[in-house]
Amino acid sequence: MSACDPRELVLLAAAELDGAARRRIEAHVAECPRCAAELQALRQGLALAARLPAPEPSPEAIDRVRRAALGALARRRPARRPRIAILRRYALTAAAALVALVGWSLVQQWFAPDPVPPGHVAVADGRELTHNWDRWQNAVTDSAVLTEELGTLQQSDPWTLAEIRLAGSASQKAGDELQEIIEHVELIEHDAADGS
Amino acid sequence: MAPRADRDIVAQLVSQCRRGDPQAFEQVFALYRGPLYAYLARTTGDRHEAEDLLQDVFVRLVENLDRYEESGRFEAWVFRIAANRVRDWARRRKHAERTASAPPGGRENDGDGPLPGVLDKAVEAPPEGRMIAGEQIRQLETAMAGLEADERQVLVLRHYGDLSFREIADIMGSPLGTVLAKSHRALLKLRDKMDRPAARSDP
Ligand SMILES: [Zn+2]
Repeated sequence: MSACDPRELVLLAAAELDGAARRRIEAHVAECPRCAAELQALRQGLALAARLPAPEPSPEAIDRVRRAALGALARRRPARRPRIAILRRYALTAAAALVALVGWSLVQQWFAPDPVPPGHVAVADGRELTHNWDRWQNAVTDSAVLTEELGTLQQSDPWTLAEIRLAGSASQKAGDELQEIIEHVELIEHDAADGS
Repeated sequence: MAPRADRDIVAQLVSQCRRGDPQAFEQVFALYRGPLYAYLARTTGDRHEAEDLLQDVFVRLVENLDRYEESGRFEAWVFRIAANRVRDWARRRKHAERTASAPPGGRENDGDGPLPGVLDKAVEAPPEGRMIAGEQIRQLETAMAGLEADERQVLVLRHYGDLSFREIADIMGSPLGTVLAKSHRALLKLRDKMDRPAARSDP
């Protein structure tokens, strides 16, 4: 017979055990009066906790929160997810992919002005983004395209090179930083899209 | 009350929200604002704080939708945001209390805030049918408020978030065994306190 384990009793009381584990604890409880009593008490505790009412926000608060969240929703730039997903798929060449992203937006908008200051978010044109994304995908898979774009980038301004360095180092970093780079690239590209 | 929304529907709503669809957001908002607010109100014990935090949670939710991984339940992700906000809030409050109590005449407004878990204003008067239970509910709230913050946290996450102990452990960044031990203590305390009616419910 297994030993008394209060933690497993909690799982049993909360119906979060299944299969063999559940049968094992149930068998123990059937032979252990102490655990049987404890299980009973835990179930009563759970039933009590479940009776705690849910306070509700005031209508004014609901309205305020909704407006704030809808504002944040409107500021969202669409089509970010697919990019990230695809970048993950190409994780091994993440640095190259990012360089391609930067490079391609540069090639597209050769005379793009300074980067959009952080905080400013341009409203994206969905079709433009989809189109761009198709192009990027091709660029990532084709190393010749990459090389060509890299060559072009050598002649670009210092700011761009800094971006590329950033992109390169991001490939060895965590997802969050990677995303930050992508967001920045998006800003560049939105800015350019505005100008065209 | 817990948001047991169909997983496919939620997944659909999330992807629509990611594309900036306000109608999809309205549905997400309707699904989670109640449970989230209840959780925030119970953990902070303050309606106004809970409302501010609720706004913070929803704005962050919208801003970070891309970071949600479909492998986990959306509910767990949403409540993780809320739990993080509460943790930051608790930290700020502790800091404010410390700086307020040192020099006389510092910040005075939140000096003796309500017991965490007991709301400053009573829960809105329930409809007649539930009136009978009013006193018991009051007692239950006091009993909840008497728990350690971590113990209460586990119980309200489970109750309002409809989360499993595994999900709660994940959210709190604690081993499952620790969360279960806390729950064990909390549940027995709750039962014992409710067993001795009115013994310690005087203010
Ligand atoms: Zn036993």
